[in-house]
Amino acid sequence: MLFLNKMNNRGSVLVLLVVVVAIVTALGSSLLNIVFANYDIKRFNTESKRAYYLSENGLNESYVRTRCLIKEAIEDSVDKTELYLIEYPLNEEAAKNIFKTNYKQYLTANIKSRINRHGNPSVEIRNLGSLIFISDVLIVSLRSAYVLDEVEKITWVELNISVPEFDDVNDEVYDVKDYIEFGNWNS
Amino acid sequence: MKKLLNIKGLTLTETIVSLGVVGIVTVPLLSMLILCQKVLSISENEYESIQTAQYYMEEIKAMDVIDSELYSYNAEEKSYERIVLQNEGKYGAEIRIMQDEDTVLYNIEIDIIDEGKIINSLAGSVIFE
Repeated sequence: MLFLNKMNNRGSVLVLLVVVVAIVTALGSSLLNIVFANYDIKRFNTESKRAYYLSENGLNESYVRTRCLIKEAIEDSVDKTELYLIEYPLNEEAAKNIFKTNYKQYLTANIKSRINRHGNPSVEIRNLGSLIFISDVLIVSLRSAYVLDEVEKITWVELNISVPEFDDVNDEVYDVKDYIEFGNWNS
Repeated sequence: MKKLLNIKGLTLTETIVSLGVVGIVTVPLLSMLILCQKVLSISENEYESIQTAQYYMEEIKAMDVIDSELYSYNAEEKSYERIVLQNEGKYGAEIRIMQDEDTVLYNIEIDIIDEGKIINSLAGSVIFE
């Protein structure tokens, strides 16, 4: 009883108030943290999407540049084949082989300089060491990366390049788009 | 027994001090809650607007050719344009598709509009043969 008398209730409200205020403040600051984290996630999502489409843009530009290269390769090969035919007009099979060989060499020799880019997006050929025509098809594996603030988005694609027939090219009944196609888009 | 039941109520000083402390703490807490609400609203707009932009982007990428019913050709700007008016609960949009020189590459620009202001944008490209 003596103990109860000594322990009176004076000041207990203040203690309770301090405890309640501390709890509410802690909850409030946690809420603020969660809300800002949520905002950061949404911003990251936006930047990630922007970077993705701009990275894809790098692959599309590479496709266009490769089409130009194919056109140049065809023109160069036709010139060389025609020169050969002037000298050996009856050797048509050999001329066709010259066309194919020159076309393949022209492409493999120039594709790196035409595609690789160090800007933003940066584009590079991943299988540079194994750029060989297999069954008259060259598979070029491309990697494009775009950096936006703290986000880096990488996309991959394969370009399948085929070899035109000399007769079609010589008769001008060809379209460059028939000799290049996308395969295996990845991101 | 009388002594035991003699529990005094709060003094005026205690009440005033308590109310003062509650007031001091409540004002910043309330402003913090308002800030939370604003940030949440901005986050929501950010997400919804980029989703809308992505929808239009994917719609264009899925086309084989530019849909002339949706996109009108602007000869001055040399671009295909589409304006989506803002409806209730839906953002407006300004979409432009421009041919890159004379190639098969077309650049896409999408602006998402809310109450006359551009609140988000997305850029990309597509190949039309």
